[in-house]
Amino acid sequence: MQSKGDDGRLDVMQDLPKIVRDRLNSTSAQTGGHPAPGHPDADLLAAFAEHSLPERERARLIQHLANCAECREVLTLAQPPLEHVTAVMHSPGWLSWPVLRWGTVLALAVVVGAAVLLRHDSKPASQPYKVEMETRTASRDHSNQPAVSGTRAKQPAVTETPKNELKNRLDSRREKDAASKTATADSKIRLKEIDGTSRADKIPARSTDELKSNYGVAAPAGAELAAAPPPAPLDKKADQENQQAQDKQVTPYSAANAVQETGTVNSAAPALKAEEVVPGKAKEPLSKSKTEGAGTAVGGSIGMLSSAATDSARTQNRRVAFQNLILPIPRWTISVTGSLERSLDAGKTWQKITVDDHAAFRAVSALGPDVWAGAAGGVLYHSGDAGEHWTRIRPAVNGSSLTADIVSLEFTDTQHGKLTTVNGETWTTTDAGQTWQKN
Amino acid sequence: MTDSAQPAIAFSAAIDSLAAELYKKSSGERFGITWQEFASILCEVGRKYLPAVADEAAACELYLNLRVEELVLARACASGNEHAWETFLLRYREKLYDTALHIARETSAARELADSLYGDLYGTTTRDGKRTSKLASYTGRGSLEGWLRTVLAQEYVNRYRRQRRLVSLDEESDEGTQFAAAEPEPSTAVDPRVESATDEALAGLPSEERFILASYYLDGHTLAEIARILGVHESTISRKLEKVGKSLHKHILAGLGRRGMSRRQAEEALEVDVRDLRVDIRERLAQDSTSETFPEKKVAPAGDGSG
Repeated sequence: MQSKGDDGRLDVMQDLPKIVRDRLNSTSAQTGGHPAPGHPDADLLAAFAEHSLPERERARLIQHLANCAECREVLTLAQPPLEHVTAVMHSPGWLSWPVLRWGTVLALAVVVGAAVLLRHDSKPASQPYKVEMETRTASRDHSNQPAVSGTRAKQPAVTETPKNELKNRLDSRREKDAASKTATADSKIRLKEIDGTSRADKIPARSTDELKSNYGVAAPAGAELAAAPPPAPLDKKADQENQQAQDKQVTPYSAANAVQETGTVNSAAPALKAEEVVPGKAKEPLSKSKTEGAGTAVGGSIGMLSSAATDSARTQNRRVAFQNLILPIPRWTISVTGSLERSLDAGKTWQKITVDDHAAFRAVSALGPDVWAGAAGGVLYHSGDAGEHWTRIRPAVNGSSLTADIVSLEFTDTQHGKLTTVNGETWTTTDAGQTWQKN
Repeated sequence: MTDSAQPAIAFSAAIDSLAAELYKKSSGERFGITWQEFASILCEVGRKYLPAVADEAAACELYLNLRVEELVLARACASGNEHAWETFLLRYREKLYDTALHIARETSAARELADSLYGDLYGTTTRDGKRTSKLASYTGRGSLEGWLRTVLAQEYVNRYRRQRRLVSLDEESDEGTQFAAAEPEPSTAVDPRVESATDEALAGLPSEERFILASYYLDGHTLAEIARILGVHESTISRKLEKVGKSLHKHILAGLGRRGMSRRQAEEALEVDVRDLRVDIRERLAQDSTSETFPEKKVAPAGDGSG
């Protein structure tokens, strides 16, 4: 019934009675032809086209558009050509060598960690396994709380939204990697420095999200990545109190700074809820871990932990550590509407990841935090941080660029991968997408 | 900074703090925009988009969603900052010409369109001896690139409107279908009950559904074009159109029933005549005084009208 015409219109739609079209047009002329007080300005139309208007303004604008042929036409003409779409969260200079070199090292470490975790997940329930567990470095000088204005955007968000959970997890793994290499705090500092998200000179859209969270402002339609805002504490004082309350929540967590432990955990651990880790039961594997993890204890921290075995703060600490541990690897899929979706709870729930509003994704390949997504029209994006930031990659060989629809993506490691297109082209890369070969 | 350079405009404490953070984020100093100027710009944007009795939360929401970096760049260009202009040209010059070509679909017309906009952006027109740049009207609600595309599209539509007024009927036929004169459609007497029942059913439609109907049936846009504008998949628009069509049909029939028509009479009145398939949208649009000369890019597929 719904056969498509040459111009992309459905033939079935043609049977709308003429009288309806007539009246639709003439009522537009009568009621909406002169929507008060006039046409929306270019700013509003552009924001509408970019799906960044708040709902109430969007509703008002669409009411105007429903009755104004001129604005509808302007809107259509102003749509960007598909090939000119740029990455929403493009970080300039991402592919510069120093960053790439360190990033590759980190990505490899994270991939290895992810592979280990995935392997453990797939083992039978009776087979125990060992995993390294480390509390996330969260050293914060509470006495030097930054002022409300100016620096708040750079503070790590404490609220455990899925996005933050993911970042915590990534940070934790990066730090773990650094600690295992040098067993010094300095290496962690260096790693923090090369982490693009913590650089002061980069203030990406993410910082606005944090600002929004701090000011209790809901993100506009389409900004699914924005952190869920707390109840709006617009008053500075209330905001500060809120921040202090959040700091208190993480105090036990940060008390075990830089402590590395090895825990023996049954493979049922992923199903374990944090609340189920009662002190008595949790104590035993963690005590074992201290003897097994020789050389991993730093300074007097481990002594402090063993002496405070019954302390509730420690239980809380373990609970948080377990929470971090049992978080699954992000999973990726393409929705029926061609948008990219990520799950942080092993596929139970999926959240849409806005990479490119105009791209219809067809394929995704993920190795830990290294994610590649291909769309129609040869649109290819890469994220090295599990989808937090994306970079548009434009494969080209001898002046010939990739324009055909990408139908499959396969990366065997962070460097080597191939993609195939709808017209049978195969593009391969051996250097994480910097250069490509076309077959 | 806020201590030493309070804006002339009185912000509340929360907004003042937010504005200071936004100023830092905007890199306004790089383009010579001072804190006071930035605060004035925010106030101007607030006056334009916030209701007279807006609360603090609404103001925060508005300001947080502004593209402050691009806003500062545009305003710095408008005030003649050279560094800002260099940055602007580097970022947008090529895109502007590409967009003009995408809109005008013809090289010389595209260049003329883009050059004309450049003139406006630079501020060739003077008012009271001062150069006024169109960039000064950018408020950062959407991206600067999106705003430039929209301004180009508006300029194109205005030009087309002016041009169409000047084109003679002979020239119209030479230009092709875009300028073709509307064929007169035989006026047929419509039962006023059908009109009122249809109006009633249309009035009950949500705005978005009405927008989809108008885009598809009046403007001749494709499902993909409408889907892209609304940020949904093409199949969603297809489903909605089908659903709205059925719903309208049902409501009109019910309305006709309330107006004393039997079910059969009502269905006959609504029955699709093959002649209906030839809908001259141009003429319909011409009825709309606000868009009387608005171009119609695509004519809805029409039957041959022969029955």
